[in-house]
Amino acid sequence: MRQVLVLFIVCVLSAFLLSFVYGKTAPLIEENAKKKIEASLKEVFPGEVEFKEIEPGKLWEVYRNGSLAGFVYIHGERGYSSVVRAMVGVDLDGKIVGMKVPKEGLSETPGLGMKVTEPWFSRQFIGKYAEDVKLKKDGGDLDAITAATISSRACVNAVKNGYIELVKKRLPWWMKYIREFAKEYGIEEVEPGKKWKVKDKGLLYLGEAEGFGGKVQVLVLVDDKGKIEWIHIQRPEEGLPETEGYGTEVATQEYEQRFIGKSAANPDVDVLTGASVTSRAVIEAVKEGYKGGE
Amino acid sequence: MFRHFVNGILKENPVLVLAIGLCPTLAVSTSAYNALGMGVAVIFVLTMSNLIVSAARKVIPQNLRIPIFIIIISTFVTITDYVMKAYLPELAKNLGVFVPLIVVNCIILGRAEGFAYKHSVPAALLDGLGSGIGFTLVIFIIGSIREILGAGTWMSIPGGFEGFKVFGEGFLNYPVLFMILPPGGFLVIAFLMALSRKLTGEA
Repeated sequence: MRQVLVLFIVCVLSAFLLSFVYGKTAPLIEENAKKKIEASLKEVFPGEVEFKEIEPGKLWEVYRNGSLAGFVYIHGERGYSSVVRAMVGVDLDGKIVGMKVPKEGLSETPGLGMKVTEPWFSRQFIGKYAEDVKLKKDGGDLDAITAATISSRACVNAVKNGYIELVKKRLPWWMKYIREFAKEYGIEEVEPGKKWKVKDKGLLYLGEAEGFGGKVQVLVLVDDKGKIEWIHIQRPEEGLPETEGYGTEVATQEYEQRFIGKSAANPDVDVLTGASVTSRAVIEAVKEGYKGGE
Repeated sequence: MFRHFVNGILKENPVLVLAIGLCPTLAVSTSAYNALGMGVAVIFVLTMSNLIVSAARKVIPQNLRIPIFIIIISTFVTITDYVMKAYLPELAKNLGVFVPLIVVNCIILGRAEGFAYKHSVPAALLDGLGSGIGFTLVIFIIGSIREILGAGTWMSIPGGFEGFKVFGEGFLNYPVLFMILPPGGFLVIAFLMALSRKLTGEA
């Protein structure tokens, strides 16, 4: 009986002491953790920006002046003797603006694999498209760490796969077309997320209008006389909110073809039978986006 | 009474003579600052647990002593862990799991069982301080040697002081990396043990 009592008293005293110390230190510990994350976020996405956590510890949205400017994500891949995690800041084009490999939980070989945390290694990712990063050995243009190919490759894969898994699906559907234009001709943003100037081609704009089930979006390229040169209507797999088999019929190359050469201010294109609301929405979207153009 | 204090540092130095507590000694002695942090944590836990165990030795039942020692020790270890995380986050990050592992550090349980349980409070206090300082001295020396040779700096503090550049800039690019890897730790510890044997005239 006495033994039980002694053990019990010891445990109670210990619990009281610990809860007292915990109460005093917990807010500080939490603040340290927060400060640290905040500091590393700023490191990979510099500038006057704000961060909003989307997936805890994995994905943040980055806002500049209130509008979405990019993402920061953390993703890990199996390295040589631990998981190599990369913390990456990307802009909306998928271009890397900053990258670092946090040391926490990383235990690659010191002096070899551990070098993935060094600034010269992460610096070479900046300016690359997160989706296309590759080591020189694998046909890309990034230097691997000598004698630590596995750790280097894990880091590259973490950047790439993290982008594909976390960020890519959250980007607006038209992003990939903008990127193609940017690659081929070079573009200049006129109005963020709305209008772009394509070098030697004309004006690219995003138009939207209310359809049957929600907003229908189109991406249109017009020449300097306001004639449509190229158009892409949002596809169902790109989030077109229309009825399968009816409204979605407008989202075809064939229907897009009918817009080519028409005036963007007032395209006279036939309304498709069975998809009249959606076709009208597409025509409306073409007009709406052009409004205020040259 | 004073010999209890000196004993822990020289004649019964936990690391060099008794060869206990080697795990943290090897693991965190990669830099002088880490080693010092670990040493101070051990001094605190060792002194406090010795103190409490000795003060309560009359009420601790013989057959329940080990669990009670462990509760007392782990209480102080947890306190150390919280405080370190709150006020020295960088150090806490570097020491990592080795702070909670102080609970099973043989030095501390060894002193509680082997000394504090049988001696008066002042003696236990001095013994705790002595053993703790003995441990700290050795781990600090090992940490210093390994850091100087393995990184080329001394007393560099992560996120703060850069450290004294012992061999100049050129050495920093090509330090003797081997020394901060585990084999370097064994080597330094072996040399120190041999040296202490030589000095105490036991070999």
